[in-house]
Amino acid sequence: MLKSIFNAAVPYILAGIGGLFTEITGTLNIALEGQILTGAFWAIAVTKITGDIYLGLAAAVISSTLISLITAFFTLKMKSNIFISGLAANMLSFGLVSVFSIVFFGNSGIIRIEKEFADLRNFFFILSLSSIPISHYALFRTPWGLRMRGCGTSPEVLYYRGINPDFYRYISILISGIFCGFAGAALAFSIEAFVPNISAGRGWIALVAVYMGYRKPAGVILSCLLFASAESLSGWMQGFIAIPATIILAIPYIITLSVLTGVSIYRSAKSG
Amino acid sequence: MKKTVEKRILTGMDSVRIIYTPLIAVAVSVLVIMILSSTPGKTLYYFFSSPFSTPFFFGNMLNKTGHLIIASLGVTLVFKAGMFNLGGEGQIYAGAFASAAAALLFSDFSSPLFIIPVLAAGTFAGASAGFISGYLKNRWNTNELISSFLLSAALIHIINYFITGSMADKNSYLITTKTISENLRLIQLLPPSKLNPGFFAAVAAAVGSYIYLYKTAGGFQLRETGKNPVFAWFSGIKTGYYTVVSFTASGALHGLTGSLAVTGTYYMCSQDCTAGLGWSAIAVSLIGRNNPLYIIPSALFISFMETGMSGITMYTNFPFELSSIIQAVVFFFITAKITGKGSEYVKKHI
Repeated sequence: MLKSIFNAAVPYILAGIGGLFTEITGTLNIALEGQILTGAFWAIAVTKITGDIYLGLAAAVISSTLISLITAFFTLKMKSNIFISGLAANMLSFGLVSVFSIVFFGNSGIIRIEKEFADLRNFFFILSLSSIPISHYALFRTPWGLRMRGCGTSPEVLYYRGINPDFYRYISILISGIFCGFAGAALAFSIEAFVPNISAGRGWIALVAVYMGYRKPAGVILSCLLFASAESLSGWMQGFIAIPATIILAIPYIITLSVLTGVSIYRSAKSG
Repeated sequence: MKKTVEKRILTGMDSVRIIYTPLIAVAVSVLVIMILSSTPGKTLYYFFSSPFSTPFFFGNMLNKTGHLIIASLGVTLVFKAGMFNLGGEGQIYAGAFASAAAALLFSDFSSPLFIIPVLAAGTFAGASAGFISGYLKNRWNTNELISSFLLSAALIHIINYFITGSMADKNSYLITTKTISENLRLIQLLPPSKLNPGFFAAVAAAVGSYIYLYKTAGGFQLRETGKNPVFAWFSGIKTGYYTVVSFTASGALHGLTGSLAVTGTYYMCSQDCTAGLGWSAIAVSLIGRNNPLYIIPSALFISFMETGMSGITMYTNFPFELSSIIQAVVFFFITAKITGKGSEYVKKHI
């Protein structure tokens, strides 16, 4: 049970940490969803073509970073609305994945591979766990992290000190791309296949986790674990009670909404 | 005096932007089509001509415009009150489903007047979903961005449960409810297209929203709430009231969009029939600079793009997947600012 929760939590945590970096610099990157999808596709596609899982992993990270670079270019350089370019990045990822799926495999359906991913599974597990202290240290104990946080709270201060806030925003979006690439690969390797819409709202949930976790790495991970337990709990319940599969899909959202409401009730009670 | 002149220049630039962003978007899509298509000439021809080629395409384009206008008015209303409604997708779907359910309930009555409760059911369903997020925000300061999105995502799955389960039409090859009876459908103004009176209602709603937001005391207070809630509160404006009301109204408008989609377009509620409409509405609203009057051309433009896209996938061998890439590229460029030195200067000195 505990193991299945952690396995389910790995993609959430990785995407959530990626989202945390963008959120802290004040850029609401809603393209996480598309980045995860891209990462998952290229992880499976390259592994299937070359037969090397590490090349697949590298492809996942690179492709997802490229999508995030495009988003960053349009929002920061061309001053597009961040929300619209995020939507656009999601659409672009969907379109590119379908097109490349047709080019490589002749259809845009499920791509299956037979491989052993035990090493990688441990790698993802360690990566997601170690990302807590590392990102916490980087964001809250280094000058670099101070500037990152300054980007979100008071970019004009950075500007008057001769630091370009957009530079840090670029970095934050790139970091989100890297982490979402890992998240996508973890997701695809855990089921040893790519299925259309594999991300299934995980990018959005990761953003919710960032808000719920008070924008702190530890908080983000706790909220990600909550999601993952809701997910495995609803899967586990299916074994006992005959709940239709579509309702199962709704349960994580309902649980999260209840927790979110609970947290806000607690917070408003505390502040009087 | 100097200030007002420069302000005028800025507003002027605002309206110029509404014209030039679509031009850029069209130029970009032409470029992408020329790169991606194997028969660029033919594809381009159908891209531009198909929305106007037959009454079917033209009417459907206007019908889609109507949907986009109503839904994006909902987005705008919440935005003007200083919040963001991310739950449009679920609210529209809830409206569509509630309307379909009500229509199936009333299928024995022959009076076309029963369309009123059918539309009301959809509007009410959307409004309830919106009200929850608005109430949570007002009562406990729950982040409305997240609560509206989560509620909408849950709603979509719950509605799918009914559509795939107890309310499914077993005789259809689609995953859908039964079709609603003839007398409960909105009349087609331009058959065979689905253009219906809903389009004119949408335009009227846009004008009405403009008057409410900019010409009435209520609209002024709503906008003040959005600009600076603390200041508005100390000025004696009931900010909590506007938080709840704007979110409820937004949900109602989204729900109405779903109702119109069922009673005027699909005549049934199939799985994911309104998918993507909520996101497009957010884009329409942002392109129209959250101004109800600018929303009309902005919706018309997005609808034109989508109709042209479906035209080329129908008439040429242009794959459907590529159309989402074109739309993505257009979205990237559509709010991009071409900031020359001049516009920077004007902005800095106001």
